[in-house]
Amino acid sequence: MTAQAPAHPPDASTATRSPGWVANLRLAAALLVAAGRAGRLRWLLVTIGLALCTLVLLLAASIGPALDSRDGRAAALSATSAPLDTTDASVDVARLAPTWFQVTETASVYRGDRVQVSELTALDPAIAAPPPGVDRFPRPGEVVVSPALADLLAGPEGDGFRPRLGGDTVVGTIADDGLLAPDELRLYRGVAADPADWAVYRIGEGWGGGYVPTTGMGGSGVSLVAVLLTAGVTIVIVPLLLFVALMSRVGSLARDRRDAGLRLLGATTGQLRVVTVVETGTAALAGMLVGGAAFLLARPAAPFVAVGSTGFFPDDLRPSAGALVAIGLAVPVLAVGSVLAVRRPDPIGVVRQQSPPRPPRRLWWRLLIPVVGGLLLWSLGQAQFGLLPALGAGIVALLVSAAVLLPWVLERLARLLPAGPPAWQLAVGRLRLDPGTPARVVAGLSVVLAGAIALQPLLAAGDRLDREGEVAYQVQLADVPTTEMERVVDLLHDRLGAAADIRGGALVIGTVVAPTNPSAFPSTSPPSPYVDLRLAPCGALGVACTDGMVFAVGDSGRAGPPAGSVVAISVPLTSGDSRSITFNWTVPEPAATISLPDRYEAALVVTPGALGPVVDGLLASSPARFSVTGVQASAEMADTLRADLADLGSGVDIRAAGEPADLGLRSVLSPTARSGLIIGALLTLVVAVVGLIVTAVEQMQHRRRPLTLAVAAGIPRGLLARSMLIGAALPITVGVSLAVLSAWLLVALLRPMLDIPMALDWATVAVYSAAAMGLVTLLAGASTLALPALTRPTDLRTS
Amino acid sequence: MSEILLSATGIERSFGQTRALRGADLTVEAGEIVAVIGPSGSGKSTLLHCAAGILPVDAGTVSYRGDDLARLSDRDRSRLRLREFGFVFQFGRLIPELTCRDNVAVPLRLAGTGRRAAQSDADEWLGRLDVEQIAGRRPGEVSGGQAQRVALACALAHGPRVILADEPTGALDSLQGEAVMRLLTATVRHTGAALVLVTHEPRVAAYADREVLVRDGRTGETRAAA
Repeated sequence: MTAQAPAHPPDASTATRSPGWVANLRLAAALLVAAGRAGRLRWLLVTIGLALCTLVLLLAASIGPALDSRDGRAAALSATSAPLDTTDASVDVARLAPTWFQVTETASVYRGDRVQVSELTALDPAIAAPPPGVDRFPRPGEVVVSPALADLLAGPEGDGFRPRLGGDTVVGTIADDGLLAPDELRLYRGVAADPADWAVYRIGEGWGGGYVPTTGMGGSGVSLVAVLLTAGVTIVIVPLLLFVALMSRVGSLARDRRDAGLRLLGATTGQLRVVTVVETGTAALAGMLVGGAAFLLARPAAPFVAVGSTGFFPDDLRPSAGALVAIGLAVPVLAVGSVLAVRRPDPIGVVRQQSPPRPPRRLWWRLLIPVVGGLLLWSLGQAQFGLLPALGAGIVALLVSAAVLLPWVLERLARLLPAGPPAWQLAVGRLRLDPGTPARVVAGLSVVLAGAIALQPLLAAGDRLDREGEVAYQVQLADVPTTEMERVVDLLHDRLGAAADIRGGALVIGTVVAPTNPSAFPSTSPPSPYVDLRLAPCGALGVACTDGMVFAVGDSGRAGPPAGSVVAISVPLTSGDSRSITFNWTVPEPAATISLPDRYEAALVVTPGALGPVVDGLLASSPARFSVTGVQASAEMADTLRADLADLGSGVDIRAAGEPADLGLRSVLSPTARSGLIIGALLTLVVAVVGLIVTAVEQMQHRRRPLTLAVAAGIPRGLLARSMLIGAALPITVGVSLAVLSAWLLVALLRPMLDIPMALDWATVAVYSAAAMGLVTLLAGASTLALPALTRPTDLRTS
Repeated sequence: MSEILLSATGIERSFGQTRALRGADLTVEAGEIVAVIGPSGSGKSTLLHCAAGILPVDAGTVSYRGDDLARLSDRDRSRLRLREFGFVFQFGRLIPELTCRDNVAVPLRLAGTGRRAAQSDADEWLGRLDVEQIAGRRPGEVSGGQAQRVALACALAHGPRVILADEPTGALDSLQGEAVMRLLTATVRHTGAALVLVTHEPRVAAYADREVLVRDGRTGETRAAA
């Protein structure tokens, strides 16, 4: 019997026609539903990882709107200036409307927390507009406090603050719409003041006239705030995006094996792409839903999560529509894209264990990224013009350079490492075989670390006090007569002891009207008739001195007028007052030449007695600033000093090291922005840790069989555990080194752009680096605990 | 009669609901080649793993040179396997991240041999098995047959008394399988070690002095190899 040909041979067109996209989707959905335990677990892990990334992205995206909300409330809390000519020297009482009021704002500190004090006085408190959140305008002797301050005053911790109320009565608390944050310490105090003594520029007619600060977008010059916010947001976002890619690749090895099997059965690469898109896409969508739900559940906890004295109301955490769309697109696109980019559905991959050696990684394109980023930032620093997208790109390039260079460095390092004990050999062998996997694991953490290290000096920028060395206290006297300077300095010496080194003074500007040697002075080009004088009592000079002496400044950029020159000095009567007293002063022979340890340049240092009694009781051109070194800072001592100088009123500001910087000294970022960035960086670190754990577990699963065989053959588990620890320590050491290098370079390139003192605190760098290395080593150590379970001899069974 | 190296008596072992061994026996004398044969799923590999001390038994006794393996700690059993036994698995037992040379050298170093001496010994064994040219490559970069020869070198280099081979030719073609078996048995004869060979292929079992049949978890007749 012969074989008969089939009556109807298969239709060639149907045999080769590819299934439509609907059929492909059905296939993908069927595979997703029919996935076994391993497949479902993989999908779940990807979903959880992406949910975590989504949560953190939403929180990061909320930082900007939260700051805007806070700034909006800050603007609402500012008084609207009354329509008066602020150049008027004095107030014309007849022109004051009955609803107008005067407000004097003072920022103070109590036990390290910022306290906002507003002193209010009105012509008619009954009809004056109360501040937002306050029922009525406080009368003299009345105080309205924030809920947090009310709680403080109710407890023993408020004992040191109560005297500041001076016997005034607390008559109410401020509602939420009158606060910047739930935990803000704020008070409104009604005071009595003669309208004739009101300062014109402090008179308001209502509230909500505040200036809403911008982030410095556009315009010429790169504002410090813009740089810090751009850097900070980049530092938070970039690692998150890396981890979106990392999380979506969980289980990629098992997925590749499944896809390779499907290819063997005849599936096309297009069909497999659809399967991948459906699997990862559904996980991304589910992850976004879970992450979004977690965000909504976490929001009410916002008032309980405060960094320092900064907090947010739940409604503040509201990402913009644009950010929501961006996250909604970025997460699934990144997730699916990263999986599609690395899948290799090779049908031979199912059965073949061998693979050709990988060619060496190339350095040139990896170096291109930090070089281009560095050049971009350097050119911005030289040109001093502000293009924030370019700034952001430069910062991103430098931050990710650690991650980009890591695989190449690891590959080269693995080749150079010497032989050693078996555990070392196993670890180095693992690194030589596959430097890419540990590099991917460590890369995200390296970017987070580089960002955290770079962020620290940026956050502290401008917060640095003016002198080298450890400044324990800084004291500012505004609107304080010059005669009080000596008293303040004597008090500081008395309270802080002989070890206290006090320096500083006030600025007085004079005009040289009769130089004895015009060619010798001034030493500027073109010659300028103005001369800066530092007015300081003997106690703030650090040299042997009697009141009445004058000193030349040895390291000043400008030479002082020679002895015998006549300088016209103008001193205002009060701050903001256009009235002043001008008098001629003949420069005496300097008693000596001294150097000034701080940044304030001056041509001459003049003790009050040298200017004569005419300046007694008058104010200097600008506030007097004194800094104290040589002693340990103490918040309690700062409170004592404030109490001692309380009679000088709100013009005295004393800050101990570590207390908030935003007291009108040299603040840069508001505490809210600072806290937002820190919170974002911490959340990113959480994601990094989870990513490390998931990847470590996955890697161990992948090596399960060879590890089990090795144990079966007698290789001790202890040796395998040691090799895992070494295998974790090597990449993280390289990652940390690259992170520190890129952070250092970033800070060095930002410094000229911002023109402020800014440097890495190497102690902090050491702490961060040790923390990162410790974290990875700890995780590796924890992973070794799973070795006995992963290398069970029962796993040798093939049936 | 030669020394009895391995003795497994009344071995029972279950995996969940599956009773893999139901009272199996196995003895191995020094210098002999024993083939453990039987159909797939009969419990051959499980018997081998129990005899080697890799798997603890549910019942019965396994002893090596008179010492009951159940009385040894996991660490001592591990040391025993490293020094006294050599293993050849179907898919190789090579560590992917080590070169072929280092795969052979590491067990020697764990047994106390210095690094250079271990590498020298490794090179010598790889040369005996005609794979010296791949000494510097990793297992993933060589063919299956070459990898199995390297695995042989791993199993033999430290001079074990007992070699346990579980389907050593299962992943090889017939020519490569023949070559591996010739090498294995020749080396065993030369060193005087015992060889326990698990296989379902009669042509592989033909290399043995004695065959032990395993069926449904029980050892049946023992006969001289054909």
